[in-house]
Amino acid sequence: MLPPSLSTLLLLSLPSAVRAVFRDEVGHIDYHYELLGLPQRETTFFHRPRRDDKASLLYTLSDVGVLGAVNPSTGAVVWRQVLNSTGGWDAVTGRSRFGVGFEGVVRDLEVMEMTEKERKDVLVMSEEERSGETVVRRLNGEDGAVVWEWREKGGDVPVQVSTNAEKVFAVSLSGQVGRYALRVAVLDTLTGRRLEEVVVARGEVAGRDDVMFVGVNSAAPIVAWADLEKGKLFVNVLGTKNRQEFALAPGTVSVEVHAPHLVQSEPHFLVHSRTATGNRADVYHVNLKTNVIEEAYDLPELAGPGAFSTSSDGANVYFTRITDDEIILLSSASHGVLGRWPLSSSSTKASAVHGVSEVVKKSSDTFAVRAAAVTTTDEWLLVRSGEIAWSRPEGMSGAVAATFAEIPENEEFVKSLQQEAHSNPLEAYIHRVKRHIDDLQYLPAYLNAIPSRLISSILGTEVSNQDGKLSRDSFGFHKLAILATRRGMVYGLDVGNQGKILWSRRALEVPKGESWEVIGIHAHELADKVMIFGSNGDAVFLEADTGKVIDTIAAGPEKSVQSTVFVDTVAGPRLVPVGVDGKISAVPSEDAPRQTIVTRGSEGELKGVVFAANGSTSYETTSWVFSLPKDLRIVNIATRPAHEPVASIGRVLGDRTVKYKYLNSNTLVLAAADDKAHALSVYLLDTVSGQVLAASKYDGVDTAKPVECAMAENWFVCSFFGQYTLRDNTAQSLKGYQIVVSDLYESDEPNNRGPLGESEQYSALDPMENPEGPSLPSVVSQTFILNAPISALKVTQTRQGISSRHVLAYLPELHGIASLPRVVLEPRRPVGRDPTPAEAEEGLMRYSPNIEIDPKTIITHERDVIGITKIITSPAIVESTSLVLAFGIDVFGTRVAPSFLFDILGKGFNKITLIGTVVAITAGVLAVKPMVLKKQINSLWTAPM
Amino acid sequence: MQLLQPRDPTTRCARQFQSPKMRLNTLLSALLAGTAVLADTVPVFIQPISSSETSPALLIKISHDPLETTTDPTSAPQISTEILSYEAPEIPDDVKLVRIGAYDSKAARWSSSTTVVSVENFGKGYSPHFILTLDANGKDLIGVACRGVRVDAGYTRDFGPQVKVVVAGRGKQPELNKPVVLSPEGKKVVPEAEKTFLQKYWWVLAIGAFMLISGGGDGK
Repeated sequence: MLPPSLSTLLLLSLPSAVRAVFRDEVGHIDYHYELLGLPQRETTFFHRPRRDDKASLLYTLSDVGVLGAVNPSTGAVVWRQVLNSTGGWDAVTGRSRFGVGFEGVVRDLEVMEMTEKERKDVLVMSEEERSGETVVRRLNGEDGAVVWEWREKGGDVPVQVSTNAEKVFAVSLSGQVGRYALRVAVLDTLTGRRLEEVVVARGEVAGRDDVMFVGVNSAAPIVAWADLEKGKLFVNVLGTKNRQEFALAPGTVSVEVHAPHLVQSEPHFLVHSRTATGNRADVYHVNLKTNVIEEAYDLPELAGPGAFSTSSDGANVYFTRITDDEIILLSSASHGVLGRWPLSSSSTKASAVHGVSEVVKKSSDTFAVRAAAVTTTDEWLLVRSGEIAWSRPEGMSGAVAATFAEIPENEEFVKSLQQEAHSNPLEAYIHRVKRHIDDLQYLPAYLNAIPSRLISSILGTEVSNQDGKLSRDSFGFHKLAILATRRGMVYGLDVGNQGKILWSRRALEVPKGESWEVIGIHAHELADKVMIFGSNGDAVFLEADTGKVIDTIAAGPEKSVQSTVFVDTVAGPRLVPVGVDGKISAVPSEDAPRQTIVTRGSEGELKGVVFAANGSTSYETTSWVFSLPKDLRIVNIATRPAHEPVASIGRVLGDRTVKYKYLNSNTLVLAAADDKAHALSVYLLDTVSGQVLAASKYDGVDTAKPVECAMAENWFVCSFFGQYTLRDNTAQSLKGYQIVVSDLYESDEPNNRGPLGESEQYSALDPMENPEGPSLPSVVSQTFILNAPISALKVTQTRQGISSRHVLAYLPELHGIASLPRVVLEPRRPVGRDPTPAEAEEGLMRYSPNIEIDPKTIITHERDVIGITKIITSPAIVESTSLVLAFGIDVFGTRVAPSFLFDILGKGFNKITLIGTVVAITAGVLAVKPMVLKKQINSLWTAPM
Repeated sequence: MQLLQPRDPTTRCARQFQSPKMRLNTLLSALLAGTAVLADTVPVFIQPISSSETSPALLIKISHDPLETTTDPTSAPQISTEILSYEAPEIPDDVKLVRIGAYDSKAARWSSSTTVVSVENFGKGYSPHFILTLDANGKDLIGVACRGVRVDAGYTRDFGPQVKVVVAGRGKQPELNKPVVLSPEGKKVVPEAEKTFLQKYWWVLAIGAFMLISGGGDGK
């Protein structure tokens, strides 16, 4: 017999083994969109990673800073890296070869295809903003060592660096802002010495964005800039002094230049100009001897934005044109069409915006083209001979807000139920009987479905919806997840069906370089609609199941809304927008919120706002202000979730006494950092009265690193990076990521509810009837050291709050999501001794200062989930389970059961054996029954001796 | 509606004002700690929350002072407080909520966070209890809160305003394991258990006992 404490420990250690995600659950309960971000035009290309192998990969550096390679035949990610520095990566494996750290901002980067050595080198142009210097460095392509460095003072704006295998050209803008001249410094490839300097386009260039193109690795690299107002395009062959001028088509709004990136290729380039409705292109040839540019041919104007891409095969240069309905292959030499592939009509709803292509010459006049294009709906798709081989929903990266929404129920059913509720009992009864008679028509279909449902239930296969319609399930796993991205796209995912994308819709046109700042996303359960609010006062209302836009509110010119809050009013729940400086406009009295609204003031302070009626209109009044002490700034605020039932108001201790939880829903946790003193202050505020309920200060905190807090029930956690010597033993110091968990109880002693006692009502404003005086919650805290940084903290939610809670956290360095159990994050764990039997009964483990994040608690298991910025949770109908959705760059969703699946039969449950046993026993009973009956009759007829 | 004008002329020089008892306290603590510590005075003002703007009025002046300058960083500073003056507020009838906080009357702005309570807290039968929240250093004021508490003669005879100070706790630090001490051979040193009095001085007792037994004969 084991001692009781040991057996409890064994029991406690069991869950961690059980907690792991089972292999058969992978891909069944969870889903993962491995995304790269939207590929950018200049940084996407096909490349053969092995010189002697013909297979090529599709490489891209996306707008969210992910570098990755995609298999062009399947669309699967080969490798990904989140970029945060300059470096070199292996093209085949994606492993880091070298990393270089330079001061300043890297403005341009070019690969030197041909050098004096065997290898290829890299040219890096960076701008050192502190000293105002432009630096061009040639790095060794093998190890990143600096071959030479060229720097220049003078406050020029560096634009790009280019090379033609003989010389290096550093292109920068000099002169007055808005009327720049293009200055080209010609450098020696071997030494980086300046050979000469050419100034062209004096006073013609407005800014960096006006320079359309600087060609590289071409026999005659060019620089092109446009003046759209005058409708002119200027081109200069790098190294020469004269510029040439070409007229653009009238109404041109944007110009792109496409040229080959191989020195062997013919010096041809294509100018793609877009008007508001269509696009056209002109092909130019550069005469290598005279450096004169001549127009070779032009392509007709077609509707849509269109996309062009270049690919070269030795000296031949091919241009691929992707239009709305076909792909056209052209040679740069003449205007003859080499190939034409119509796009299958059903496959594309969107037009291509830009793309890359790879052309393979099969025979003298047959070609094969595959083109990867980014569409107007933020999809990345590969078209092979007109057929779409794959498409990646890259637009889903850069998600900024998400919410879970219920699948809408049959509206008519809901309506008729409401009708019954509002009529008199007799009418309601008649209506109900009629409804049931009507329902009889579905009976045959229902009876028909029984066998298939029974079989699928026994075999454990999913019951598929025959009609493909969305419907809720009895477990509550089937929900919708609505995701809004910073590029203005909104996605609807079917959570119960491996996160399948049900719909995607562009809700907002976001200008290039800007992002949609979503401040609120709410799923309105009754109206089946999702409301998304932007910071510029814009709003989009969508149908949750179809994504159909119901209504929109146009965006204002500037940031005007800080947040949106749901409040209770006399007229029902209402949404109130809060202005940037915390101002809320006056409302009619019946729409006035009953609660206190917490807003951020213009100086960063926190304000409580109540509404006071004056006549028929209510005006906002600041009730309390939490102004931070000097030097402090708010770094994080956490509140209890809106849906949070509490199963038990107390905690029963091992000695059968009870510690009562401090359950005040009007509280928030505020973390404020002091950058000078390297301290973090954590305050617990009452949001009705503004009173500070608890405060603690942590010294030695790195305030530059993120601080995150989360709150649930009667506890909160905060995580930060700290480095300090211990107060109780100055010989010991520690450094690392830490998590502090604080429990709040009504009083310090068990069985004592404090001055409030059993009273049902509580007001933070009214006087106290108990003469003991006001009391503050009793706080019990403990700090743990983590072995990895964590971010995006979120507490699991279940329907009734009976299941224990886990803290979900993204591990930015491990690329996973950990689920930290509350049992581990427990401030009452005994320190320096084993738990007593009573404590062990309570489930307390011995305190250990560090929490090693167990790989078994990582709910993303082997998946590589990158760039998660936020995690949201939602309860399912079954109490055990909480739905999880994590987003940022990747999108990952799963279900977690913090107290295990106690209310669902696992997949391992053998229904066949159960049914077999029942059948066998029934058969046995039936077989034995006549024999027993016979025996009984015989015994009755036998005369007693 | 200027009912809430400060009536105490000393408000404007709050820092200079010290009651004789206060001075004694300061002197005492100065003697105890060896250094002179000047007590901080907090002028707590009250302002009705209503549609018409009313300027805040002095409610109570509290001085707080760390009892002794402790060098032990692990313990929270002990704070002594004293009520220098208290003025029962006069609040217009139509006001339901009042705002409370430390107020800088020179700059005419709140110098701490403010909290809000209902007017009933200052009504008959309740004695106001103030809670000052101080920063971890025991000096800087973060916020002031006040609650009226039902007067109960059976519980206490002090029906006047009460003051409670809450000092921000020092953040909990992890309780590290004690470092392992190794001997020069690289083995774990087991600290020897302290010997008990008997173990240490048994021989003295033994000699005493021997002398008692052996020295019993008085030569008879």
